[in-house]
Amino acid sequence: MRDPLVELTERGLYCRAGDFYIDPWQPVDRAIVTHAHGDHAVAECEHYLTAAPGRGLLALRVGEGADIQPLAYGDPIVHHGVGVSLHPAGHILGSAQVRIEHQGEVWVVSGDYKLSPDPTCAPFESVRCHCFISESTFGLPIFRWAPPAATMQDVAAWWRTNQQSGRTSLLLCYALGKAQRLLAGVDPEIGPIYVHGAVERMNAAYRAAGVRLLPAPPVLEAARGADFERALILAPPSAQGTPWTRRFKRPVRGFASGWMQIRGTRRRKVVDRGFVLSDHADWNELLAAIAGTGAERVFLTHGYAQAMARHLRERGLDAHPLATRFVGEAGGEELAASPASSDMPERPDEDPAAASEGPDSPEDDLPDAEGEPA
Amino acid sequence: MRAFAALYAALDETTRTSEKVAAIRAYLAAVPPEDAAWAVYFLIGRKPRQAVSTRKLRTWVSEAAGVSEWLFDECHEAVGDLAETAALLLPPPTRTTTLPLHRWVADRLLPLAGKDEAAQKTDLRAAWDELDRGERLVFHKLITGAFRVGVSQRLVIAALAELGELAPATVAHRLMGAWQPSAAQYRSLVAAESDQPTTSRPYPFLLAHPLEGDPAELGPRDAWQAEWKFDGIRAQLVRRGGQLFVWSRGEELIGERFPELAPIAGRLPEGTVLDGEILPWKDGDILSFAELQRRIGRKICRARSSPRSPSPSSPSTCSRRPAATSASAPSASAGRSSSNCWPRWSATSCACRPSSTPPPGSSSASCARTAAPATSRA
Ligand SMILES: [Zn+2]
Repeated sequence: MRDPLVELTERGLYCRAGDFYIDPWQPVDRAIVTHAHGDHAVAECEHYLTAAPGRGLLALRVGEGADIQPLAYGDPIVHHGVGVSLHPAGHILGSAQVRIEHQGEVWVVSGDYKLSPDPTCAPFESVRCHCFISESTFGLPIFRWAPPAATMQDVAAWWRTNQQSGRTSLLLCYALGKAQRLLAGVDPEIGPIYVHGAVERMNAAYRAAGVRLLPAPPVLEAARGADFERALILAPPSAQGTPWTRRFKRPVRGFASGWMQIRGTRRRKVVDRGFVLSDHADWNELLAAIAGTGAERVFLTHGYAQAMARHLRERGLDAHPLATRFVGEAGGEELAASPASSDMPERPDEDPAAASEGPDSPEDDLPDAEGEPA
Repeated sequence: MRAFAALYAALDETTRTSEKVAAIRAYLAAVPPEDAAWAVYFLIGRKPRQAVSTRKLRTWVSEAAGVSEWLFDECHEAVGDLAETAALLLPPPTRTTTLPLHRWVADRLLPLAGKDEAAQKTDLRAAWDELDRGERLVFHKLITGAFRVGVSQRLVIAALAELGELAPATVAHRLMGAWQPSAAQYRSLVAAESDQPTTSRPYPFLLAHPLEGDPAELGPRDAWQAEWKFDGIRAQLVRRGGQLFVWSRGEELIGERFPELAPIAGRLPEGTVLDGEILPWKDGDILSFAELQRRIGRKICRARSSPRSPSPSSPSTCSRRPAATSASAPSASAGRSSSNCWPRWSATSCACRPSSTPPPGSSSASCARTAAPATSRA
């Protein structure tokens, strides 16, 4: 049996034959970056290769001065005799799967992906391969998403309800990817939408790449006396509890993330409402994507890799977890979300009976993020 | 069932007490009284006995969802809640249900316990095909005897009190004892008049407040007396109608958790109300607060099984109030009467209180509010 085409090294996924890394977590000479989320794109590599629509986002992440070579989806290049092409992953703008071909063997590294529709990026493309390295962030059957359109309607209904009580709808979401997807998906007729500065930087990059997004001025640039009571505010989780949010009177806080599927996670985030909206494949999408590649060998990375691999082995696939540095420690952005705020849970004081009441489930220890600090 | 599941979700989603009360109130106002009765029953923590074991639920859900049991366990570990795990794993329902809560309870839930395994499984499969995720979560919690929701009884009482325009203590009283949920029971719960006697009702608890200003503001020193302050559970013992009622600060009857207090009933004169701290007591010493904490979460304690920490009440305020004169009776003799009626009164720390009705103009003194229930009660 020949050497694996892609192997895991201390610096990340490495293709020896082509002498390049995929999403390395330390600076290397040559890096193919699947997308611009912080846990996939490290700064200070000598040369970057990334899908053309994501070039601007990657430059935001690793610096304008970096040597970034854009590659159109589907365009093949050959490097040291290894064929490389990038294919849409449907995760965020410019996200790509990396197809690697060498001496008749084809491997695909998925990066992060989803199959459900997203108007802000190219849809996932199934690529046939011998070996598929798939993400498995939500690799448990409890994670099965409702259609995104239904979730968008939930967000809209929530926004309307908050408007009726004159309260700002503060929706926490990743600044990169999720915020733009929400902006593109929520009914703009309901009221004004404002964004946090971190979201605005990403919006600008999306617009520069030709993605049409509704006008959504940054909160700090909003006119004096802006009608925040009627507004939807999109902000990264790290904004929660900061002075920035104090300009909104009694905001109602929502959180849009796949982790909101679990009540315990939402409770720990101390938000009023969780919306299950993920840019990652759910259980069914993962199974469908893996089956679609026709791969005999599957490696799983991120999230519930062990469980997913075991399940696939029970179904006759040669599947194994692939340890990555980020398993279990993802989520810089969400980890920074502080639950501290002035109107936190009102504890009944000195009431022994009330003090005995509590959440009705043991607190588990789920990762706090969707696997991508932005 | 749908409305009740929505209420459960609403209570689960908000951290604000006022919103929880509003959600309960809105639900109770919207549903038929039979449903409201059962909802109150569940919300205040009463539950039907477990009909289906968690082991069986795990097996049957794994089967229905087409996952191995080890994978169910992985999911359970990720979710941390069995009823929720099962709700998330099951395939989507093909039907919906409009059956109201009381019918679900009477027709689908209560009969489960008496059925054999095969019939239980058939019933569960039928239920799963009609219930969405939120409804299944509630259903699973009810059939496994694990229904709990993050509200204290106090909030349910507050909602009922608002609905019936009643004093919370009235509602708390009406919720006590054994009752069977029904439309009539719910109507009498929120009715303006009730034929129930008011014997058990406590007085409003008067709370201590830290003194903001200078102690001199409290006025002449001889208007005050120092009193021990204990680290216990604030409670009122109400001795009326030949019965003893023990109320917590949250206006819950907690006598069942402190069976050691029952014998006191016979030793207190009729009409006595003691407002003080419940303390665990053994061999002449006060035990640690931890001994008490073990009682807090429980609903019922058998006196037989809990002799280790008898809990005499140590009144910080004590006044005997014959019903007819209670409104005007001063608490001047509080200190004396308390030692009369509870001889084993002992002390570990100290707090201040006026020894008599504070002189005019000194009503802002913070300790005075602690001390004079009889005078401040109109
Ligand atoms: Zn990502």
